Amino acid sequence: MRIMHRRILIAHGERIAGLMGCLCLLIALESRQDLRAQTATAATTTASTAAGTSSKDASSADVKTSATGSGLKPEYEIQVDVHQGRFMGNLPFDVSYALWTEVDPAVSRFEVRYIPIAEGEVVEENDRRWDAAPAYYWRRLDIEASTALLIPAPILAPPAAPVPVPAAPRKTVTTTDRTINRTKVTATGKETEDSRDTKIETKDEPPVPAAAAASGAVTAAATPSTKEPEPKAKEHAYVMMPPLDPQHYYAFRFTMIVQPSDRQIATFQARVRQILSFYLAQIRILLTEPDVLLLRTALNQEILGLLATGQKVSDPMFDPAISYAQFQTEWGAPITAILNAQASHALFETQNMPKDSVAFKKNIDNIAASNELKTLISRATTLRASDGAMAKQYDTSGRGLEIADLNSTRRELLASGRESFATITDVPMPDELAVIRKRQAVYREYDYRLTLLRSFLDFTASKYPNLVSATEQAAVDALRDPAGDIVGAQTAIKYLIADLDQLHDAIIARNNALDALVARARYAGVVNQAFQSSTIGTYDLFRNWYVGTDVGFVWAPAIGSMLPYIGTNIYLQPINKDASLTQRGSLGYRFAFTVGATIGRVRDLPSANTSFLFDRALMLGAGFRLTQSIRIGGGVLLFREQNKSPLISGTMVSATPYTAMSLDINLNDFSFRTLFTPFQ
Amino acid sequence: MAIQFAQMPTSMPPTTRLPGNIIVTIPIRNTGNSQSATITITLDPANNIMFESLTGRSRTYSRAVTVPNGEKTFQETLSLVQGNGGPVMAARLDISIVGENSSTALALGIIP
Repeated sequence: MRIMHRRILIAHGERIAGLMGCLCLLIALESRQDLRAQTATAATTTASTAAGTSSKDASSADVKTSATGSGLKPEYEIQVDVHQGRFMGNLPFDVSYALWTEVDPAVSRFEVRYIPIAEGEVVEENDRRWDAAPAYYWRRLDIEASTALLIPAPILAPPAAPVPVPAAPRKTVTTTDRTINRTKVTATGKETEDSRDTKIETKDEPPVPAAAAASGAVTAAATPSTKEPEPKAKEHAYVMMPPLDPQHYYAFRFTMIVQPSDRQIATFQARVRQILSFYLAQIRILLTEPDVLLLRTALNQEILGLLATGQKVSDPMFDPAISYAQFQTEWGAPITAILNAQASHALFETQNMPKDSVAFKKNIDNIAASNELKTLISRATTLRASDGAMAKQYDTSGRGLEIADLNSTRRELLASGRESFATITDVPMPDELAVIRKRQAVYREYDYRLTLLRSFLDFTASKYPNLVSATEQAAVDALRDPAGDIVGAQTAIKYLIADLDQLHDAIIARNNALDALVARARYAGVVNQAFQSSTIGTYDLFRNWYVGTDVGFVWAPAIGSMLPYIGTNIYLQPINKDASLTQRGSLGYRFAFTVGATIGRVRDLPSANTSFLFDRALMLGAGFRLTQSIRIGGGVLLFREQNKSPLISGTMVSATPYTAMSLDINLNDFSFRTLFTPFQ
Repeated sequence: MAIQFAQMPTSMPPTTRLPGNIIVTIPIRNTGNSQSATITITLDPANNIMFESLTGRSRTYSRAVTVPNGEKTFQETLSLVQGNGGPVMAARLDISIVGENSSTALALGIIP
């Protein structure tokens, strides 16, 4: 085959026909693009626009997001069923795209990680490789600038009340929540079975831990009285993903962190407090490592029983895997404080108070058993009717004089602090601190009465020394002596009140130490869902892997004029024509071999009798994409020409180099937008 | 009434690293006739902690005290060392007033 370097003439009519054919083709493609444009709404914006200038990556990714979700190409926005662990569509490659899913307002963080895997490999949720994989996440109210998604705040801001979310015109697959009960409400909040687009899906408040809810043993103090907020509508969480490589397998892990409400935390902590209090009260001896292991095992079993599936206590100290040394460092001080408070409580409740009560009862028994005292009071009662001074002192000291009449039962109650008075406000008994305060009030009352009694005896001894006999007066004087039973009883009362103060302080100290531990017990729902997928998809997605349509004009120096042609471009790797060349613009994404044929006839005028390819020229070459669709290329044109030798009547195959400019298009997805995309 | 603890004994510091010194404060009150008492501090063998003094290591510390009527606070400085067993999270010091039926257990945090 020899290369021809001579002028090729083209029949004008055929050239016009070829140009008209190309024009018709482009018009048809443009009409197709218009049809597509009608389905896209004006609300569609690019992520780069929506995110402002904070995300360069999003800006270059040409990824569309929309508040309405309408008119979006499915390759750019893929719904995820996080509970089933799968994409609701094909997994694209080469392009950045937004993953979105419906999330409950309680979800405070939505995270996506992916790692390349081998074909058929299964990666579990707790695989170590996840830790090294970059995280692409969405967080409410705390949007950080990152290479991951930045969606405008209006989309992220949680609605104050259920609001309608316009249904996307594209097919929407509703996620199936396995753990959350849902109700369907309209924009007005009324329950309905209507399936119109104004309907949204909401769910009830995040589940209360089953055991906690069932326990019902939550103290009023631990449970806020605030009313639960109204259920909020689900939100769409968007996470921008970087381009994936074609023909790869990937494992994905979605993580949703659900923050419980304050009420749920309070309920949980109230139960944790009960558990901690119960187990720590059992500690009587040492805290060796085996002891601590038993304690922690019991604690964790109880606490984990409060949590629903997927919920974890956020403080690592509740993690059984934490080392003994770390547990010792973190919990040593509060647990020691609790143990000392318990020891103090036991010391004063079981040792000091019984001793002091016995001493007090002994004194009060002696006072009540004094017949001399009773005689004195009896004569003073008689005298008060005729003696104004006595009457005044008697009335003043009346409550103190009652001590002489206390029977044994009341004295027993008094010694134990269980005596009550109508003048002392009854305090609800379940509160141990209230009981202590009440007992102290009783003791203070009797301390006052003893003071009144002693004052009365001092009065009678000084003003009425002959009211009783000398012997009787001596016995009475023994009672009011500083070393006597009245002062002794008051001393015992002082110690009893001090003992109760120690009990009070021990309870407070234990409660404070317990509170410090319980405050660390906060849980969060952590839902991890891992699954495998690949960018090796269906034929529809990857039909342009190797063959693209090429339409353009070819120019060969030997011809000196342009010819329309149609051909195919053969890439050496999968090509996603939706991918921006700024993201995926390496040689492999731009270079392709070209095979085509001219539309116009090529005839060698001196020997125009050709029949090769119906007088068309075969193009063999290669090209390079300058933009998404515009390509330049070169190669050789093969055509059959009349043999130059007049002695030979046959034809021969000739070749000539060419250059071409063409449109590398996907006939189904052609758009003039890509055609005129600036040089990239 | 007799000689007994007026308040719960305390340790300073409440948590210590071994070997280390602690000061145990013991408030005592006397409401009886006798003014003599003996304070003992005992370490359980399972504590794996011992007292260390010039005379050697032991698990019992004892001291005779005089307690007048009213309250008096005693402070005992103790040197603690690790025994041969494993570590403990908190050690228990049994403190008692001999003959008065008054005793308590003070938990001492141990820093690993």
